[in-house]
Amino acid sequence: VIRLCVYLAPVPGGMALVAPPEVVEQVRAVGYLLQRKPQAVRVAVLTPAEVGEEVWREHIGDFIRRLTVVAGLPVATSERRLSGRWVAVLATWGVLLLLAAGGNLMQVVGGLWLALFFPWLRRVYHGSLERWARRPLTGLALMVEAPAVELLVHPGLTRLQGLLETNDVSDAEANSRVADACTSLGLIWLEPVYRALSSRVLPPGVWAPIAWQSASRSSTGISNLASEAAPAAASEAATFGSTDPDVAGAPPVQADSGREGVEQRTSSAAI
Amino acid sequence: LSPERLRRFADFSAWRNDMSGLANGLSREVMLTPAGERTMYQLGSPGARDRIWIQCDAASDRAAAGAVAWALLESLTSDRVSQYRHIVLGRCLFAIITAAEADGPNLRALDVPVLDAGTLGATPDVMQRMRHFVPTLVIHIQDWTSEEPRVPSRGSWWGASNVDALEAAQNTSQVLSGLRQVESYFISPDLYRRMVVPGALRPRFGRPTPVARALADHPDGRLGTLARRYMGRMGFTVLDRGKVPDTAATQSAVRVAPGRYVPRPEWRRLGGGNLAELALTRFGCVGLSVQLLHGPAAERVGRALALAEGAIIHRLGLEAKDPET
Repeated sequence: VIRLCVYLAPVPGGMALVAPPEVVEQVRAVGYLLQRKPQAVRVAVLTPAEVGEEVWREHIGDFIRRLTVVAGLPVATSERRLSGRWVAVLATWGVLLLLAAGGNLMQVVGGLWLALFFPWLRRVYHGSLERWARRPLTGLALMVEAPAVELLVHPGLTRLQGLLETNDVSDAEANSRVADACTSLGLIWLEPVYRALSSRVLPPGVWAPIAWQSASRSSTGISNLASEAAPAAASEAATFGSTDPDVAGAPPVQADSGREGVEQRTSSAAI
Repeated sequence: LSPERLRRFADFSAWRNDMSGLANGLSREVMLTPAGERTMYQLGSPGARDRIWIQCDAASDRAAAGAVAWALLESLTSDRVSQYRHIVLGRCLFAIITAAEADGPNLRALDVPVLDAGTLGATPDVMQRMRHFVPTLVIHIQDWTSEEPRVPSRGSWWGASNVDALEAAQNTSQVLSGLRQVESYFISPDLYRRMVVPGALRPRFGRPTPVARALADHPDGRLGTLARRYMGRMGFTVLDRGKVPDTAATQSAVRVAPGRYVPRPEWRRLGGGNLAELALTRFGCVGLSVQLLHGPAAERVGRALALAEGAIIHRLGLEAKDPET
């Protein structure tokens, strides 16, 4: 059984399911592995103590789907490709060389290389690269069908939660302090996540804020019809057929020193 | 867009106050997110067969996305004489989800991915409400315009090394401005297998290939075509006509027409490519992700509105006067 870990990290204002870039890399590697040899995969959700499954259980399926898509996306490389226009110029040059060969063997070979073999080799090379990049997707598709999920309590996350609760500072400052504490608590991969949040940038990797929903509220009932709605005040804009023609409308557990303290709290369950 | 409307949207930050004025008496739910509040308004016929989910999101600057939501809501609740409004409201139930406030974590969009893996909009809170709403059509408007300096963040999955591709594209005035739509609908495995073959959709001797014709005749695929055409009739051009650089951001989808993409089958199978893909996986509904890529704010708003309007009208079969259809 292959075990992957994602975090249920406490953040100012709620909780968030987080998969740092290192976890994304692991998932990609697991995709390659599963493509060659299908195996059972278990996703462990590392949580602080006293966080029930009901907080994340409903959302983990979508999160795993998003995680596998990110892991399956081709990695950007700095490779510079010869553009298709240049290849066409080279192929044309090769044809001209052939036409003007006049029995010169080297010129014939060069012309054949430029006109035929080079474009063919280039196409085969890039095609094989793209196929290689898509290989983990087959394995990842096996993973998202019915992932087994389990809950593990991580003492480091519990400490982080306590740290956030005792801090009486701004969110950015709290995130910065938590980021400082991550390494000592065995959560080294979460440090860039909190650093990003402290600088008001979306964290790297995949993340899904989940506990904010408990604070959401409904202001009115569900079934108010538009006909009962108050007409708009002034309106110069109009869409929908206005008569105005002008408008339109585990963590790698190796890296975590807190691994020893991880305690399995519930059994696994398929989603 | 009329001059009056443009003037009104000159200060985009005021859209939230306008929104609260429009929504009196409407059913609404407030969601609290790290990026501030976002509101879901419901209007229309609760028992209608068509349930349309329109969501506006932005990577950085939320103003244009907010203005789109405002204009949609205003056009559906105003008392002006309108050709379609009463029919649309009688035959549909709408859920309109506004963009969050601008004080949350921003996304530094370097190279806009065709499949954003739900980074924009697919939060658990939204998905939970979608499960209750059960849409039949999802229109997801994503504004990827960013005023932030393009500083690549290491570890971000769209990578730091696309700076060159982006700059090259901008220097040659090719892409990354205008509108890109990613379409999510069921495609038979046979058609999927044939359409991902390189060159299968490229016209031969000026005539479309059998695969291209099959795709053009696809009942759900036609929605994207007609909506795009409608947008053109409203006066908004598609600037994504040049050759798109083959970056990591575009390799996950098949370009079926200028500016129109369908996820490749491998990513479709994972089911989490974006909000519309998640909705297709969960509810089997058709989805249209509208990616706004830079350009003046008013133009972005106009493009998104025109496309959304076209999609709704053609979904309901209301556009009978289109001479090209």
